[in-house]
Amino acid sequence: MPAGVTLSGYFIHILLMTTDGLHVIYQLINKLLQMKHILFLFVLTLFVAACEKDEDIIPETVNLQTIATASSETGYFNVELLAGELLFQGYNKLYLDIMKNSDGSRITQASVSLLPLMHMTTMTHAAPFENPKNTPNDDGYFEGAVVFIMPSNPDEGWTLEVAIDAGGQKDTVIFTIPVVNSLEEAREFNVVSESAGKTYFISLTEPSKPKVGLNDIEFTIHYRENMMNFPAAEDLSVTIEPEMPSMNHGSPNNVNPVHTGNGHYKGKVNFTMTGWWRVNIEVSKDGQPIGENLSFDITF
Amino acid sequence: MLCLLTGLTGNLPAQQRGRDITKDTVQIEEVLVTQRIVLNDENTVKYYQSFYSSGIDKINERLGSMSLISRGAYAKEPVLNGFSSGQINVTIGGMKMFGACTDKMDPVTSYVEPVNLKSIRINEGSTGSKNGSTIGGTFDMELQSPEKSAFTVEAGANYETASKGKTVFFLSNFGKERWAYRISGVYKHYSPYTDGNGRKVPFTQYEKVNLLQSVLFSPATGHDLTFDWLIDDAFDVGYPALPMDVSRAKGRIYSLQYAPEKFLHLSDFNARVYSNTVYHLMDDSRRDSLYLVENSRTGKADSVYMKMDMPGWSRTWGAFAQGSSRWSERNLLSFKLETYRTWQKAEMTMFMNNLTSPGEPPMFAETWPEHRRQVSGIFLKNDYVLSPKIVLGIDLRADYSSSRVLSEQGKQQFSSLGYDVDKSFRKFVQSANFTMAFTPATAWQAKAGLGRGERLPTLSEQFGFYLFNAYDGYDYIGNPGIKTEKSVNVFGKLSYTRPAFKFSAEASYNHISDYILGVTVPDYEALNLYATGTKRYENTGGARTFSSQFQLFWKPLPAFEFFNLMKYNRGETNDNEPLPLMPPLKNLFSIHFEKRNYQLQLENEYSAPQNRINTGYGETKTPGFTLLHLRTGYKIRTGKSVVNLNAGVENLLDKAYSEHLDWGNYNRPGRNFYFMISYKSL
Repeated sequence: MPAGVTLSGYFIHILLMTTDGLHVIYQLINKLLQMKHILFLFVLTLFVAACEKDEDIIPETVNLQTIATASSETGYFNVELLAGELLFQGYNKLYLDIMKNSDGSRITQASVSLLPLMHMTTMTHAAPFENPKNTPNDDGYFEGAVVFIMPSNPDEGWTLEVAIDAGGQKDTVIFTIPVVNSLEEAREFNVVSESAGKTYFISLTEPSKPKVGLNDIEFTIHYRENMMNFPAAEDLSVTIEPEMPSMNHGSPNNVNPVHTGNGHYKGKVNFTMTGWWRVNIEVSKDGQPIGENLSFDITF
Repeated sequence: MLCLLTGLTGNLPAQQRGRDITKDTVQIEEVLVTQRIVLNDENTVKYYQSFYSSGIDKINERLGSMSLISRGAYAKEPVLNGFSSGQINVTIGGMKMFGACTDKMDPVTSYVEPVNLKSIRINEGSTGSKNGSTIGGTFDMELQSPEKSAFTVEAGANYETASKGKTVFFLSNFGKERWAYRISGVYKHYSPYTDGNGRKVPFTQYEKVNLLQSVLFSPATGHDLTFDWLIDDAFDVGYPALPMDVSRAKGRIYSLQYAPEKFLHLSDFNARVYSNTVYHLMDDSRRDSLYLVENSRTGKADSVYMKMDMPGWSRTWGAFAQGSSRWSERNLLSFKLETYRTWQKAEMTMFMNNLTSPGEPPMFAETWPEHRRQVSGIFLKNDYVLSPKIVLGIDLRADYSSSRVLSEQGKQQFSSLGYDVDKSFRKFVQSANFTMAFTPATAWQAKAGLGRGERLPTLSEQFGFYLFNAYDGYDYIGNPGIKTEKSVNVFGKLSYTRPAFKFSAEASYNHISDYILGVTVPDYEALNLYATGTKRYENTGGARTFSSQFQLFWKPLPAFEFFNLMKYNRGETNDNEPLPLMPPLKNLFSIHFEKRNYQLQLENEYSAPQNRINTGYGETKTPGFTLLHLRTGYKIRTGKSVVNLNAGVENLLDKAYSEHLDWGNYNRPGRNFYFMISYKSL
């Protein structure tokens, strides 16, 4: 900065700041008055320190959006399909609001089974899924999940068949899924195991809201038995190693995921700062690695 | 405060006081106020202070027991007997202030300029606990205050050749019977300087403005209210020792002081409320990638693509009250009650422009998570006159501190290191000293003391998050569970004072336990590109330091003065490993000649080589050096005005050198001519 500019600009700045200074005097006097008596100052501050309270943590609520609504084939049920966000290639939690068409009342007990189907020009195939429990969650939704293993396109789309058995009343709903997006940062990929000759589908389910610090990390791993069957792979070992690719460093205190049931693998991942992270994964079965250079990118 | 009052009200209170003061009480005050101040230092301070254009660092490095850690041409960090940073208190008139820079590039001394400095007071070791719990001592700078019934104007300019450095300053005092206003300011613009090899040292430039305004008002006789308002702004400050510079540093100090002549039964009473704020923006926008590549220890060259911003903020609110009471013929009790709250935060944002992956979002971390610390303390000291020749002093200080990480991200960051920091970290620290002053004859005095000090960990030591240390090339992480550092110290001092001949010799020994030092964490990767690994602050076993200084002043003729100062420090851990950043033996010798309007001063500065180094901290041996400085001055007096002409040359022999405490071994300025003109109206 040239000397002249600083000098002249500076003194104008200082003039303007006089008001700032007066404000501070006012604050100082206010503080003084608040403190009543200067000798009790430090007693007061001890008291202030002791009175510090932890702030309450407000639980996060998921805002669901409607993906599709359809009536069952006989018209007995009306079902709304909801999700936390637009559906994408990867593990999607789905929420089903099942109602009787006759009186609009919610079904509270039912066996619900899902069947996602991809209708390609040459063939049709299914995808991994998780059926809801027999009872809805606290909000009245039946909670299931589908791993969409490819995105939809104008010519090839997904449908979701929902078979409902509510106290003997059986019926099926078929949703046409409007769109399944392909994410910029993939949350699902498949990998072929040379040794087992199988194709595995690995999805990242957590962290859904990555933050700095210790995050839960969770994968689901399924394999393809045939075009219609994608069972959970439950006997794999998984290790993770996060890194910041452009900084060439990782993070300490990560916990390798372990199988917790139904093809879910849970561990802990540590992000020391915001930015572009890559979580490198090694998956192996009976000591034989499945694929190589596997990773998910997480940027936040 | 006393001397301020005497200056203001025409010596009346002092005379009144003088009548009922016995010889003993004069000595009491000496032990109390100037516990260990080295009288000879005053000459040094006064001499350099008369050059309003020179920085405070030039004064500091010439004080006994002081050394400076230097990372560039500006804002050198004070070191007291080998203690620095959180081990010492650096205060302005007793006011606490904390830097906003994670790399300690903004020591509190950088906000005070010689033009607004009244005095410096050093209390070494735990005897400095009046201004806060400490193990290394207190370095207190008193600001100038307005003078009643006086009018002065002073202005001047200075030019230096090595750095094309330009300085202008002015000060004015306007005082009436009941009120007074004082304003002083300095503007400096320094370009990168040339070293002893004739090469320009890049990133040694700086520009700054400092302005102090004070208003004094007496609502009633014997009651003084002073409001001080200090503005300090630095722009484009280069730091050759670091991979980053400072594009903006902003310090503001506000204080309101009440000083009654008499308050209850207390004398020297004063109370102060203050607030200060610091904003510090560190960035590498002026650095090209090549520079980083050359300085890289790891061979990582990816930094080509990265730009980094590291802003920091600090705000402190505080209040204190102090005074003393002679509660019996032989006892003088003095006290200080103090509380302050400090809030600090620093961030790091890295902008990548990596060709292979464009559009990458910036990376962000809180290098100092938003943090608040509240400290309240009490200091008590009693001086007891055992006999006309012996005064005994006992002092105690206790502080209660509560620290808290406020930001969610900060808490999360520490969860990633395996700590739960979502709570208050409370600490109680205590120190105590026993001192004795023995005056066998008028000119002789011997002092000795035994003390125990304790200090709070700094924010970096407790909650720092991957702070890159350019000295050893490691990232440092804080340790939330860190304990306080403690020290036991003994000191002895002998002095002889006659107007024409003074000397003093002193030595002190500190035994430090729970010594805080960075310890390598092998399984933690470094976060910064150019870091070799990660260290975490730990309470390591123990350490000991020894400091000594010898000062000699001789005035054989009224026009001639000789002054010599020698200082030596030594420190090692209990495993006999030398402590890092220990200054080597240093000797300063000066001849001062002053007659009528002429002034001549020749200085010799000698520094021994430092071969006792801590290799774990990345230290290298530093060769010794000898420097010569020559200063001349001429006064033109006309009526009530004085024009001062000063010229001189520093580093006359054009030596290329760097001090042991200089980071990065960059060279200090080479031969530097300076010219100064100033005008003073009385």
